[in-house]
Amino acid sequence: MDIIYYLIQNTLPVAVALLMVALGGMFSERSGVINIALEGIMLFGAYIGCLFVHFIEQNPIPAQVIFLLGMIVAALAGLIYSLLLAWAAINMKADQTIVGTALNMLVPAAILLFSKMFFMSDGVTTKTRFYIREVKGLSKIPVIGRLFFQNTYLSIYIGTIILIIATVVFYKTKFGLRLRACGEHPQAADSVGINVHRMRYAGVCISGILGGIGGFFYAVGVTDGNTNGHTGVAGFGFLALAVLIFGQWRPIQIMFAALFFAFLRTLAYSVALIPFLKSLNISQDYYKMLPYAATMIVLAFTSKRSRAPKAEGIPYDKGMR
Amino acid sequence: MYKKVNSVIKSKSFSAFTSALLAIFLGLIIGFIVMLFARPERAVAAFQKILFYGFTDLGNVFYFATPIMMTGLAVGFAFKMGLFNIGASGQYTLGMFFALYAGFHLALPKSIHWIVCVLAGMIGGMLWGMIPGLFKALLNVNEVITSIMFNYIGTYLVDMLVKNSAKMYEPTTTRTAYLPASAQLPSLGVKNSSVNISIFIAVGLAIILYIILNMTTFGYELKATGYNRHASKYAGMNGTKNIILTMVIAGGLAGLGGAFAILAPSTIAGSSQTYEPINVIAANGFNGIAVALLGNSSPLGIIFSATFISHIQRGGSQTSILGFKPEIIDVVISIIIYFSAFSLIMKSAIGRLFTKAQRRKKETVAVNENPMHSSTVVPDDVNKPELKVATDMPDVRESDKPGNDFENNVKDFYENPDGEPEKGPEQNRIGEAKENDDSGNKEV
Repeated sequence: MDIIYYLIQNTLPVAVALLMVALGGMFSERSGVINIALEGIMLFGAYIGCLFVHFIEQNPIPAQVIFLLGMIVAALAGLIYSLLLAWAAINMKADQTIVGTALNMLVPAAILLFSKMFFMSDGVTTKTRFYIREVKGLSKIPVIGRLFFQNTYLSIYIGTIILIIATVVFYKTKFGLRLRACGEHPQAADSVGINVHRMRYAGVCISGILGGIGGFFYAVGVTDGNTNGHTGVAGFGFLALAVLIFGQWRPIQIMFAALFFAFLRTLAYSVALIPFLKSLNISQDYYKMLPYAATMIVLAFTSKRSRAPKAEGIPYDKGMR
Repeated sequence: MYKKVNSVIKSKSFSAFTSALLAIFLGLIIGFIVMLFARPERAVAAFQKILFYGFTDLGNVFYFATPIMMTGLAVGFAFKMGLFNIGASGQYTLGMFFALYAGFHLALPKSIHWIVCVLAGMIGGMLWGMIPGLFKALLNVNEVITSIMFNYIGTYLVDMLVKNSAKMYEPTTTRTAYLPASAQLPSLGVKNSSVNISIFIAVGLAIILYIILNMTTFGYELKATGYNRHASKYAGMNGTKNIILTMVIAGGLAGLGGAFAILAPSTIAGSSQTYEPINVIAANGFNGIAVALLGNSSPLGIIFSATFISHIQRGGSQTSILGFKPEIIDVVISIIIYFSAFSLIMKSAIGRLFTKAQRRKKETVAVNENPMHSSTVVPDDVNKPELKVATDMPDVRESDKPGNDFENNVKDFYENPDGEPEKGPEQNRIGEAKENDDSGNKEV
């Protein structure tokens, strides 16, 4: 039973990082812009966020306040970086996949260059630990208290709030409806007076903000505050894309998909703790491949009936029908 | 002469060339600005190194150009089919592993050992390229996601296999052991450089690919599928087969790149190239994307773009003397890719730049010669005879003509007012049309 608690407690910080990035991807793709650059946006947000924390953590500020500030800085960084994609994809009508690939390559190179020149290292590591031992009062609730309010991070609660807000914005507001219209049939949306370019900008910018936040959550909850240019975010941006496809571009399904992938990853890294898996005596390297291999298996089964936004990846051209 | 220049300017390859140049220019400029910010007093000297150092070290420029030429061909070849092979890294790594495996486990004479190793590398890459092809062709999974996932799976798999092999792995250096000399590629004997026979193989393969793409049915089908999948399917091309085949070939090319990289001879006698399994995805695969984009996916263009990228990489590695880091070149390369993606807008912008004055001239001439502008109101009568001609299609049979049908019906009605017409004109026509369709399909 302890193992199950342990697994779930460790799954949640991973899942919330995936969830944020995949939700960001949802906003971008439902507005009609493919966002392969999520990996780069995530890493950029993580790095700038950690850098900020690195500089202010000498001051006597409570850890959770630093966390919030770092998150905001990471969100801003992601927003700024995503503008590069928005400008290229929307104004310049560039090939979105190639631009995304370029942006993904740029971040690790820039991080390595910057860190090696100024810190003599491959990245940055924060000293502050944002780990929450237990939430007072709530941690005593049976089962739930142990699952959600012990050995956790602030990111889980913020992530939950963001998920709720995102779902409401996506389905219950005028903005959400217009955004979705731009991803399905931009010409029709334009004909009823929706500014397609502005909507797509909004979609990409939201994906930048959520991508940056997701990157920071990853750096804090998964790598203990270390962000470097070599391992980056270990393909989490791409996994988030897979989560997005698996979740069929819908917020709640994305949440379950993120939990599924995060659980697999946690399982892969805690093989030694689970007697059953340990007795199988399979090399841990196999388990490291598990999330990626599972992605492929899942995609193989879901892609036939998957329904991507219709206008995804096609630059909007007013003259085209 | 003027016409000739004009046709060159308007040709596709010229605009691709100029937009590639523009992307390179912007990439270098932004790289220079970054360097100015980082270390202003040495930026100019370092930038000169990037631009000119390569000329003093041509052997190594060609040596390092070989693997990225192969991955560039792998990406570019798939691009021609409309597939974005971002998985060249994984295919490269697998090719490298297969070559290593053959190098360590086979005992063959010098003359054929390296050839077998190179072929093994090709097979490794082919296997890894085939998987995204199968996923795309049979299950309709986007090749971008598949190949990214298989980059990770391939890298982890190879690292695991290397580490678990006592014969290949040297735990003390955390790298692979030295390959036997017989498995290494024949060197060209340039001093202080590992440049070897593989550069000729790579260029030869590029030329072969050029011939395949431009002079064979397969190449034609490939490009046709790239332009319009549905049209080519309608024309009877087997898209499924072509997708798989393209990815297998692309994978094989990237695999060869990996084999060439690991099998290259070392400048120090008794040693060899080694690989360090640290779960990092091979950068040469991603550089291949830059190479392919700069070369406009044309095999011949890729020869030059690979050499260029290798040239600035060599220069970049020299900037560390001046306190910079070689990663500056990765920054430049990714900016070049970023701007290469704008090719559509750049091409039209450049086209406009060159043809602006000329077009203005033409327009004035056209207006003078033909006073009828599109906005001029044309009287209805003028259009009518044209309309009639259009409806009178040349191949319509007598019985199919709507007028005839109507006349027949009227005749039928008067001759046989109670009974129904024996053969409805509509039915008749539909039936015939169906037959025609069927026969048409059979012909194709």
